[in-house]
Amino acid sequence: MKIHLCILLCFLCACNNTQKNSNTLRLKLLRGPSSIAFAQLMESQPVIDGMVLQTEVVDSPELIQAQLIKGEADIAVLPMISAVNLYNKGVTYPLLGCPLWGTLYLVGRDSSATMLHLFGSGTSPDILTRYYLDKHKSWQPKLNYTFGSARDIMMGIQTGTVETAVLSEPFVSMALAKDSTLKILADLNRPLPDSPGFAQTAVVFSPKLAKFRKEIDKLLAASCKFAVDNPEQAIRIMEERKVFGKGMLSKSSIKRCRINYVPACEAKEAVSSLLKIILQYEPKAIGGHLPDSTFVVCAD
Amino acid sequence: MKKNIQMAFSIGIMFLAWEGLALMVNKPALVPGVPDLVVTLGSLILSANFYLSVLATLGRGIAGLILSGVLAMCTALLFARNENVYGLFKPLLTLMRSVPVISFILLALLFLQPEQIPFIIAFLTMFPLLSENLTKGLLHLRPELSVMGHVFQINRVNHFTQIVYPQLKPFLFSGLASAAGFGWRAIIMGEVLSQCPLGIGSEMKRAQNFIEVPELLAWTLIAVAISFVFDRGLDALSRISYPIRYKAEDNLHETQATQAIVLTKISHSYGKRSVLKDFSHQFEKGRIYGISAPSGWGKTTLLNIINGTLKPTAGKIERTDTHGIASVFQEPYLVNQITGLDNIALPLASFYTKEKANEIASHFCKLMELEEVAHHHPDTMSYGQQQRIAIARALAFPSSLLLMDEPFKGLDEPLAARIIQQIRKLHEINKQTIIFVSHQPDTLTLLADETIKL
Repeated sequence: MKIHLCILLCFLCACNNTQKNSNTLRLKLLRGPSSIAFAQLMESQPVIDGMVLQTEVVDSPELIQAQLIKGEADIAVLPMISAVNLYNKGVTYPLLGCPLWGTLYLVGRDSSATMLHLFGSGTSPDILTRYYLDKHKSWQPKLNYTFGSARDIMMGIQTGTVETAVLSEPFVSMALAKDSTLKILADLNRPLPDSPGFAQTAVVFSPKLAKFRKEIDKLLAASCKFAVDNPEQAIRIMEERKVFGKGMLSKSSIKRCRINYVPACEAKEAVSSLLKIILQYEPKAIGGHLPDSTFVVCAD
Repeated sequence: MKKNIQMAFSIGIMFLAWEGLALMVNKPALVPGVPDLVVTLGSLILSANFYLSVLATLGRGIAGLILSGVLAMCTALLFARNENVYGLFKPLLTLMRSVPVISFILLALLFLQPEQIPFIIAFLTMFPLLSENLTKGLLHLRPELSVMGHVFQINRVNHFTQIVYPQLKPFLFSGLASAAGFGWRAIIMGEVLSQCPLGIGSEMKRAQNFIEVPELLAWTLIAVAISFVFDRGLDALSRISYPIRYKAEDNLHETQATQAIVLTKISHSYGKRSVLKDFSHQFEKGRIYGISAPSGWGKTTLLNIINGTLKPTAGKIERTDTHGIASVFQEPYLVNQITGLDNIALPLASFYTKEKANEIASHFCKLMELEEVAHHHPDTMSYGQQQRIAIARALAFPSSLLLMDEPFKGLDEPLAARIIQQIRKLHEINKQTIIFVSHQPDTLTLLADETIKL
């Protein structure tokens, strides 16, 4: 009986493979454009104060949220709205920086379509699309959420069931490459032509790493620069590590991801303007209120 | 009452444990306390979206259940009639039952619109469960009860509600309960993954997207509550028993058998085994015939040929009757779901009002010395008591012909003698033609006007 119980316990414990090793720092990346920005870190595995920075690519924002709630991440990259929502609900991972400045584009043949397909009701793509349409009153298509993801919408475009849609990278570049009649109708990340974009992606960190903040900032900034300066290398790393399938990424898709690491302190204004828009359109998405001042703190 | 207190106590303990956990974690946004949950539940119930979402999910569930039920009944009828077809489709049903629900959902996500997915998932989950249960139910129907219903010419409504439905009911409701349980969870899972605009699952997914744990838990409680109510509803439905439908007024038209029942060169064989060969006899109206022969010589076969449930392989039979034949079969053939008295009244329902039928049934119960067990169900009676209910049913039935196959089997001699005396008394009044089979020389002597040896 005891042996059976021991075997059962072994099986149950085997399910938890995220045990913390005191000599590692766990960086959780979301499968998608944000992981491109940190391709270099996946290969180099730098050491901070004797701790190896280990990256792990996670499939969905929900899984990253769960890992943050359970304290299974030291640094995590996730949508800004999820980061703020968690912070407002007591999961105190403050903002470290913003690595991406928008990957959302409105794609189609012309702006006369009566139906606009988009994904992620209540999330960034939905909110930023509604914000864009409110700014451009001349075109008011009906919003259709029947496709669950950008990938599904891109397949819809290829099969002809979708004419005009909101897509994120790398699906924007993939769709444009496969159909030359398609074009980018609008850049949803730039409310104004001279705007740096929306701080849609957040890097958050455990407060216990505060003393290494500058060092981490430097590493993250270098990794983002590497992706921008060496897109072929970044693509190779992504494909080798099966973060993206072969042929999914291109130089132009990396360019459209607008990768540029900005530390939290410098991104304060941009974060604030995005959160105000979200609060206006979908307050629940960030927990009903703006985060307090401790969410964005500057390095000493 | 005690059960309700226990349930309330159990729910109370669960809520207390939850409240303790919430206090321990101390992150109300992620692990809300019971008061927070109640407030969230209240605000949900006050919103219009709540009703739209609940209706959408319920609509999908009920539509899926109805479609699955109708198609399962059709396939079960086909399977029960043809075992080869059942054999052909059984692996498919087993496969459908074994495939994880998530596989159906993932495949459906590729090919269907989000609104269609939960409904299709409901159907795919419920259909195999229902069709397998209903097929088993139909295959377990006791054919002898259908023979009894046919010989007594019990009308279709009573045949279904009193003979078929009670036998099918355990299989039907077990299938419905499993299908509803699995289907409900599958629909909600389908709604979560397909993210259709309305539905409990869609609301749960939205709450999860926004990390609104109290709302997610409130929707979970709502889903559990609806499932519980549905389960209770099915349970209540399964307890409903349909009463015997009687005539609004007595309408028995006196019918007489032909002057005689004439059998000419009747033969019957089961495959290569011949049990009756060139049997000829004229059974005169109003006489009592006893048939005697060693086992396996065709006594029961002869009665079945006379009552029309068997066709002779050769020969001719001349007999007319208009409304069934009073019969005591080789075994009692009683319906266990109704009382002994109702078993006697059931064939009478085609001719009489409830009062009259029950009056006749009570009278024959008394004649058979069964007053004490009249309101018991047959499966709680001894074999002898069941046999006497079967004799009472046959004697009460208004037919000019009475067939009895070893009617006094399982009765002690003095009791059998008293019943024979009652049958003879009745015969003096109604002048039925009685043909019975017996091994017992005493029975033949006491009851038969004429004994025929096969």
